[in-house]
Amino acid sequence: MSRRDRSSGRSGIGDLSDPALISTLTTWLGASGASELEISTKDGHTLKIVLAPDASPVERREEAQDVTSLVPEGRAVKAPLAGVFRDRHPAGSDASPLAGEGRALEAGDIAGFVEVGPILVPVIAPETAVVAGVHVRAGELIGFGDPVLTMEHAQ
Amino acid sequence: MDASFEPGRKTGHPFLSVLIANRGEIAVRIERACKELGLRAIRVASEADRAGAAAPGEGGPLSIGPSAPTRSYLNHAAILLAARVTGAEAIHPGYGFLSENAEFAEAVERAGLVFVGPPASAIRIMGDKIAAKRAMMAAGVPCVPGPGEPLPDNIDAVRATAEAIGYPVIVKAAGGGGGRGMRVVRDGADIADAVVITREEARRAFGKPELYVEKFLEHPRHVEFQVLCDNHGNAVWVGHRDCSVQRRHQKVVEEAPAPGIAPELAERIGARCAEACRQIGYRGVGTFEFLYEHGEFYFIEMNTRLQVEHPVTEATAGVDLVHEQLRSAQGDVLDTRRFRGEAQGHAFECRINAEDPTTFVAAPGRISAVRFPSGPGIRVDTHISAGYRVSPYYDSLIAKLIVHAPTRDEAIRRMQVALSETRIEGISTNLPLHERILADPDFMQGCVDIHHLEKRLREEAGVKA
Repeated sequence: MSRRDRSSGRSGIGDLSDPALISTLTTWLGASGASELEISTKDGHTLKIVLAPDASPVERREEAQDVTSLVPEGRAVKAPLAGVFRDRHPAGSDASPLAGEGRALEAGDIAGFVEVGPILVPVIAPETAVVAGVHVRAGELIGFGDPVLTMEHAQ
Repeated sequence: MDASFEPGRKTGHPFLSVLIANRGEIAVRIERACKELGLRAIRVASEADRAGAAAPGEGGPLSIGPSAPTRSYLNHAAILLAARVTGAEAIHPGYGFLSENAEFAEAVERAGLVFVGPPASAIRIMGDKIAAKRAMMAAGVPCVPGPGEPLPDNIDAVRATAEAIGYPVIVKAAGGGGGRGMRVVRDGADIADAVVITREEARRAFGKPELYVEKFLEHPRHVEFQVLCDNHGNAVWVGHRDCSVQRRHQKVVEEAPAPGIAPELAERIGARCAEACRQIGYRGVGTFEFLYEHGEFYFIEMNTRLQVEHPVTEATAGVDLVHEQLRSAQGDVLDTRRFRGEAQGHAFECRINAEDPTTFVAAPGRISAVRFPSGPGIRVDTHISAGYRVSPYYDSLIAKLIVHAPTRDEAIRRMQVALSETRIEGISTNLPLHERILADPDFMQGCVDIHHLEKRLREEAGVKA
């Protein structure tokens, strides 16, 4: 009996126009609590999926409660799904983290990424504020809802 | 032809890491088995279960989603993503949640991982009542007598069918359920009236006049057979259990072996269960559930997973069922000679639930103090400790207390003492119910039927009122 080669199933993401792939990614996106994802391949193809707003009001309410329970001061920005935290785009040329302590971010800015295989899901700043603390190191495994950073309004 | 090439049979292959897609006591149980076999166990959790635990990098579980099970433990994508990010090579589903979900089993295999359980094809057959009954009959497993098809309009033909089954029979609306649209007939003189009335009811209540008839069992016991299979066509039964002490179809106390079953009969039924497994290309552990009355077995369903009550079989058959499950998923050959179906001593399991002992309403909350019994022949499978918060999101099972002793009487005594030593404070539990059951003369004598506990509870309520 030969051991099955699993590496083939794990390398690359395949045809970005494949409806099955888009469907799977949309499910993952819904599961992650994030609202959009964007994938770029080395050969220049890009796939962007954006969930319709208000698709899951119940989930939003749940998250709002959890934020207050986890981080009492400031506003926690939480991981949208389980994965490896990246403080900058792996293929980008940023010399410093996207959200270092003391950095001012605007609502909608990308504060980092959670990486699962070929997928990078952005961690989005929910409001315009200053990064008061970063709770995970680049390359660290984080779970859904784990606080990534805390933001505070500048005095 | 080698049985491993039958259609639908997966081959299984070696792995070194297992993601446990479950929670509570069974996740602890599986993690322990993985470690004993030198496998890396990867725990995942919902946000509610994750709260207060160590970080994933420090041995804590990885949070995979919000507290609602549909978004965590039942979320295929979240679990597969977690497997990918943690480098898991296999997924153990435990019981409940995704353990009997054929689509999930398929998705796991499609992702190049091993599903620790049977092939999706076997889960599918057993998940369909008609297909399951057909498969069982093909393997010679006894089923509840009845034609398994709608009754004809001709009353003489109906009478012939009922007589062939033997009275009492039950006439049921095919579209019915929940106790409605059914009528027990004890005598041939009543069958014609019963059919006319039930058919009219069925037409009005369910919009479907189809009826069927099968043998009515008045006081059955719930007796089940544990099977164990590998990927190479080997299958064996490893013991039977009695799970008749139930409330609203939920098992409360289980024991192994089921008392009063003739060894030759058990051997015959067990061998047929094993044969059914070979025929459907089964892999891993599984349970055939039967109703047992007047010395006859009637198949109800097969559970294609590990059972909550598996420890009583482990105690009396000298087998670690989770080890066996993991080994069969790795493609190991099962040495069937190790299992003879003979029980060593007697074992009981009490399911300890966080619930009100009289109303049975779930009682979540924070546990302030815990003390479990210890000593020879005592096993406690649990995930709780002092300070643990019982979540309202999940099943109320917080611990399983299992005892093993040379005889049934000694095992009862051992359980009585063990229960008296158990303390769980801060929340309500069903410990008082267990103490009453273990002191019930009928239970102590053995062989109570599936209605016994509810009848006893009604009597107690009547006395109080």
